[in-house]
Amino acid sequence: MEQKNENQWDGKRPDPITQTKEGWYEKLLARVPLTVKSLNIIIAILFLLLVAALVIGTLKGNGIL
Amino acid sequence: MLEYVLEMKGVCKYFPGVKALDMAEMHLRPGTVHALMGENGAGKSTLMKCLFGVYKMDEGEIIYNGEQVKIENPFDALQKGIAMVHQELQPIPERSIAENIYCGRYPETKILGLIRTVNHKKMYEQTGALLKSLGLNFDPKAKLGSLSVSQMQLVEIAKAVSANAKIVIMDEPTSSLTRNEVDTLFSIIHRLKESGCSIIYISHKMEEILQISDEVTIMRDGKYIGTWTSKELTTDLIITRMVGRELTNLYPKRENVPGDVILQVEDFTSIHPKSFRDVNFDLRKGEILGVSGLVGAQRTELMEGIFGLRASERGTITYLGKKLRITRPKAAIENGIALLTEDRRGSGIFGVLSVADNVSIASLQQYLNFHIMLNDKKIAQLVKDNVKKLSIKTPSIKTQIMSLSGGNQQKVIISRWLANDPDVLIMDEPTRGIDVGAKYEIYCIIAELAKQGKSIIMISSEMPELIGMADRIMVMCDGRVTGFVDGEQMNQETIMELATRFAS
Amino acid sequence: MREKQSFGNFLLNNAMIIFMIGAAIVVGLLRPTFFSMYNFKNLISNTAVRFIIAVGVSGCLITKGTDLSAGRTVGLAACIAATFMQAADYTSKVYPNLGELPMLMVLLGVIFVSVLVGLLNGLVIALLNVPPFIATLGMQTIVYGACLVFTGAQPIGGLRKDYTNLSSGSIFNIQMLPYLGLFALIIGVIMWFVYNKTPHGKYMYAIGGNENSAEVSGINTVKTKLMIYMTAGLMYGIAGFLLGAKSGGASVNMGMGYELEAIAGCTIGGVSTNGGVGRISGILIGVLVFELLKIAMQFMGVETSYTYIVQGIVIIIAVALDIRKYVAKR
Repeated sequence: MEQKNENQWDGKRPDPITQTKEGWYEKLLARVPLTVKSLNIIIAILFLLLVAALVIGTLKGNGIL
Repeated sequence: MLEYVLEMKGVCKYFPGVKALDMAEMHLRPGTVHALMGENGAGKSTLMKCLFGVYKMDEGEIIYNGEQVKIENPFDALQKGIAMVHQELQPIPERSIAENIYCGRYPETKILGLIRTVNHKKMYEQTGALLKSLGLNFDPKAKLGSLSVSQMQLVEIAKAVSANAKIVIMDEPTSSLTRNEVDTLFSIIHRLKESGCSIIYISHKMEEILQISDEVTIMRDGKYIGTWTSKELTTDLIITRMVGRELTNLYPKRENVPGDVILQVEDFTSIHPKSFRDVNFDLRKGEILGVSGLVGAQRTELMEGIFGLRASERGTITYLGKKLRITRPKAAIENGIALLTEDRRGSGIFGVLSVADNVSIASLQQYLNFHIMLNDKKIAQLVKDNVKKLSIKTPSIKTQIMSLSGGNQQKVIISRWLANDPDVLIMDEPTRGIDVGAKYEIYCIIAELAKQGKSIIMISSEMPELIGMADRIMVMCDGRVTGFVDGEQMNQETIMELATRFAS
Repeated sequence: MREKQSFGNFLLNNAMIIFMIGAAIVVGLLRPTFFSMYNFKNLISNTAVRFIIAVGVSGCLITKGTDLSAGRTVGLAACIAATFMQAADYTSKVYPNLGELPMLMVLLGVIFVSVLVGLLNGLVIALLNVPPFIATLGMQTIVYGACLVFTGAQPIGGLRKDYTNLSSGSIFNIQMLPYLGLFALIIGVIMWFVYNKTPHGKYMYAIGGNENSAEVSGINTVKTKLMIYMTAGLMYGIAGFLLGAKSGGASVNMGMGYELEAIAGCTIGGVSTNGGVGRISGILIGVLVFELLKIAMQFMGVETSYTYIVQGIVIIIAVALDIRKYVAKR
């Protein structure tokens, strides 16, 4: 079989000798030191920013600010 | 001197829909090796992850050196002197061994008293000393990726030791090690014991446990069953307590009668020089061919090559007299070959999809109306039939497969392949990560399939399993087939000799 | 304790949708004229076009990819459509000697180009294994360049009445049922069928769920991915064609940044960044609610720069909520 096959199938399989698989989104997520708690806080802050942006934007747009 | 260096009491941990730990306990005496045993799902890894700060306990307390402590995260655990060697390696192969060992806590110096830099000299020196003290002959500057899998596991253990831990948790440390390396590991453990370290050892391998540990704690269904000294235990006693009932026969009676040769593999060689080469074997109808060998023997790679997942440089596969050209899995499937992969989670199941989708995904072409539309009713019927036939425990066929237990997931994948009515089923470690009770069910399925005339190739790292289930065993070492054993020769010594013939 | 958890989780998982509907209600309370036929028709028209684009991108997202060239491709499609749909008597007609071409022919021509773009994306991603982010980012620039060349950086106007009527007209002249809504509905139904009732759809979810498992199961991942990116191209072509009709003209600036909103609509609607998950109904709701927010902000006179900030924060929250679902498995 020609070398072409190597790219097509072997490139995606773990190298047979060292068994290291390519990086994965999940593995990345697992390494990211996020907990549900900190994400909840981040999301809450984002919502506050959102409301703030809406309010300020409305006031500015209507010439009040 | 305290009676226990570590105690965990009343530990409870909930996950969505599941109570993983139910008033679990653990009592570790200082300077001992304490084994933690139980079926998969018994809670051993979960309990240790609570200790190491990976999980938060919902209830319970940890008493360390006589004082109650809270462990917030792995860094905190390491600070307190608790280290863990994980089951799944997370190596960085492109970096040096020293960098991997000191990952995240590199020895530093300050240039001009201001700029923090890594002190490479110190790192290599310390690593060298550490490896030497453990009897490991590696060059600290060498790339981690240049080592074999088993050697990488030893480095992982060295990493835990380097943290000057008082308690070292080892989760299935010998899963990738050769016989020699297991001995090296045991001598490392002895050295640790002598220096006052206590070790918690999680493993399935009962003989090892009885050899290395002082005490054994057994868990079942998240509960604490009891602790015994290893002297008072035997393999049978352990199994009984792990399962909660007596198991008279571990393997079912086999009634299959191997017939004529249906598959011949000749001169099969990989494009990778260190992988499988010059492989020759035959497979008969209704036969169960076991494949044995150490980790790194390239058994999985060989079967993946036959199935079309890996490229081969030369070789022929002849099926019922017809030479097959298999360049991709689809070709193998169309010729009646199926492959149950080793890594269920990585290349077997579709975790986010339903049981129904997982069963039907490889046979969708059979259920088309007007060649374009899927007939949901027919698919549902197929899935329900399989659930019944293989006794798959699931709330419904629409349940996400990832919430099923390992054994049930495996059954789903088996039914996926059976839907295409294959003649040859290659099964790579079919009972890995499955509890004793479910293992027996899978053995029965395999025996029944063989009886029906299907040919099974079974790769396994558990020799008792192969000896109990196979008609014949092919042994591989370093990519080459070293021999076949059957009948009287099917014993651990002969197989081991063949498996280590070329081992470095 | 279990009951309370799932209600709380439901709130969080659908937080964006709930918030935006809430915001619309607040606006309606402050100024009741918000609930007008004009705004409603606007909402349907905008949503229709954006929905089609989002459906195109969704296939890429579900297979753990992305398509950053969506916006520019829509723009190119709109420019090509507008160029060949100019009124015969228009003074600055691009091709003065060309008579009035049949609309269907122009549509097919536009689709040909957009599908070609999708095919190129697919080839680079599926065959050469280039990460979709990089591949489509490059394509984005190429398409923009092509559009510049094609239009000579000149805006295109003076479109035929039968063309613009596609956008302004409605079924039996009932204001509540604009043609655009009908087109979007038809596409939605067809794509729902493809996603749920065909093997191709199942393969798509399988690849997104676990590409390794998909390969082992014999799925032709290359072929499936090519189809997905080409279908995306098809969607962009249709959307661009309709957009030209809607805007009464086209220019090289059209479509800029549309992919970001499409991805936002998908994410709000439940398409996961982790792949393997996503429903047509969810995408419709996500896009609808996002458009609703835009209209509400415009109605309330929110300063333009702030509308961008708001949209950006919404996108980030949607992704954060999505990631949270996976971190929650600890």
